[in-house]
Amino acid sequence: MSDQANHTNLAGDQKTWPVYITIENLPWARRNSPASMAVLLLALLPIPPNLSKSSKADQRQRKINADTLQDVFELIFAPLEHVAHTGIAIDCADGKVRQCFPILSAWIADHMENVALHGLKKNACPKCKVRTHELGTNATSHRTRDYARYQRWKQENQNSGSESDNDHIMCDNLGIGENIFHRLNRVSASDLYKPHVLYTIYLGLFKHMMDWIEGLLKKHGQLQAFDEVWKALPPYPGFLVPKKAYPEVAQWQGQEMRNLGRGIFGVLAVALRQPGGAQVIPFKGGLGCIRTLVDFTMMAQYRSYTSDTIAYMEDYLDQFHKLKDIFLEF
Amino acid sequence: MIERVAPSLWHRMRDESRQEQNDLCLALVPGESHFNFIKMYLLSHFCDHIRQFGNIPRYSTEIGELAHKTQIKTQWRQSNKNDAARQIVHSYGRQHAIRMRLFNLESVKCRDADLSGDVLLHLDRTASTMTAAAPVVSRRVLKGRREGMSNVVDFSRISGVSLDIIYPELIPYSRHNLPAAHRLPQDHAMLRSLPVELLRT
Repeated sequence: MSDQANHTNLAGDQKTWPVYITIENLPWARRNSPASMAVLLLALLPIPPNLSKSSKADQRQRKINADTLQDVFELIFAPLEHVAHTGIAIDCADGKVRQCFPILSAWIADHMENVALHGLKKNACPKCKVRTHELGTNATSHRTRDYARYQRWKQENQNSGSESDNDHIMCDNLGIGENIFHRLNRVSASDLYKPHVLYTIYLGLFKHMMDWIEGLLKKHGQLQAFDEVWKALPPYPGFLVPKKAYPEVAQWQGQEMRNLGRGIFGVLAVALRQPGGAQVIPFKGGLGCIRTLVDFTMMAQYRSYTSDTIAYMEDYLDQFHKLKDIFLEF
Repeated sequence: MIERVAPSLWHRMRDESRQEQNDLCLALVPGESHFNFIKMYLLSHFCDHIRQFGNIPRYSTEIGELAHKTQIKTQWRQSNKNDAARQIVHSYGRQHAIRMRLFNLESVKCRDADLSGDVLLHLDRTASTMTAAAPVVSRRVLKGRREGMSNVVDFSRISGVSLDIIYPELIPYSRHNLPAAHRLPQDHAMLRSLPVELLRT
């Protein structure tokens, strides 16, 4: 069972924060077709008002917001709490009734929501205990977060009413509020986070990547050439021709980012095809870096993997981290 | 001379000037370029995730983005904006239940179970509205009284829908939905002079 939460803008500055629910044992293509009605709206969460800077009153308000969210989720998860152990008889599509054990297995949301729901700070990884200054490295050896321990620690803190001197836990980027998933049985909160191609790569990393590319092009005076190639891209099935020059696009949508991912490497290669004497090294490095990133993205969307393809992916990621320093200045 | 301003405005001005100062401070320290973005780090979980749970597109569903439109924005527009959240949640729940019922009946029918006649008829009609995209005429509602609209021909002229579309829609409609006493005439010539008032349901 997987849920997802996203923000939507309604007319007139109204916002909703919906939670959807779907079942995991559906075929992938079936769930993604809207006619199959596989995704069901479960609840609309209350949205706390935006708070400006952290003053004393705001701290209290934040705490209240977090508690409210916690209560709402307790309400939502209440039916799930016991059935994970006892099971429940569910009517199946083939007419039989089966004893089922519904368990929350994934929570699909963008990073900010994940962090809010897990009760972490903004720069924290929901899966493991990476420190903020290590985010840019490719170290994968960090320990998985133990949310149950955080929970115990918070309760102890509340009871004693004093700041605990447990620095070790303070370093883990915990925010205000609790992890909303901690009450659920048979759910490992750190496994609920799922990597998401759209949120993480297309809307996250590709944005950074475009900033770097723009910086590189500007520095070497190739922005004009890049734009010309960019606008001259021919149409192709499944590929939308970009209408505007690259810097004119104010807001990128998922589909446009995907287009960008398909075209960017070729365009960049053409734009950087005639390096001057001192430009050879940065051009080559930049191209190599973008190439590994795009390759990684494409491989992340494979439908099935062998140990070879995973090794390729890891290799691309390593390469990317080795080559990325060329963009450090931008 | 000190200009008097409203306290709320003063607070806002103070906040803005602080913001500007912050921005200035940030601009002054450009040397702090780094790669410590969270998105940068999350990539390193991809490979482990594949080993543990399988491919990534399976979880990268974007159906939620579409669901915003079909399940929330439309329902919000249909609500009376008064306690809208409750209405949104309920309204889609109802639609979902009906749709699921239809899917079930459809699959039962495929397995040659004997269903009663009116169920089959109903299924045929919903199936045709759900699948046949051909005769889709954008649905319009004529509001208020219109002058000079007395029969079906006038209706067609005013609404801009051709008679060839109206007749095939009307005849099955009257056959299925209207009680026998109020059935509309079955041939086109008689339908032409039908008063519009009879079309109301």
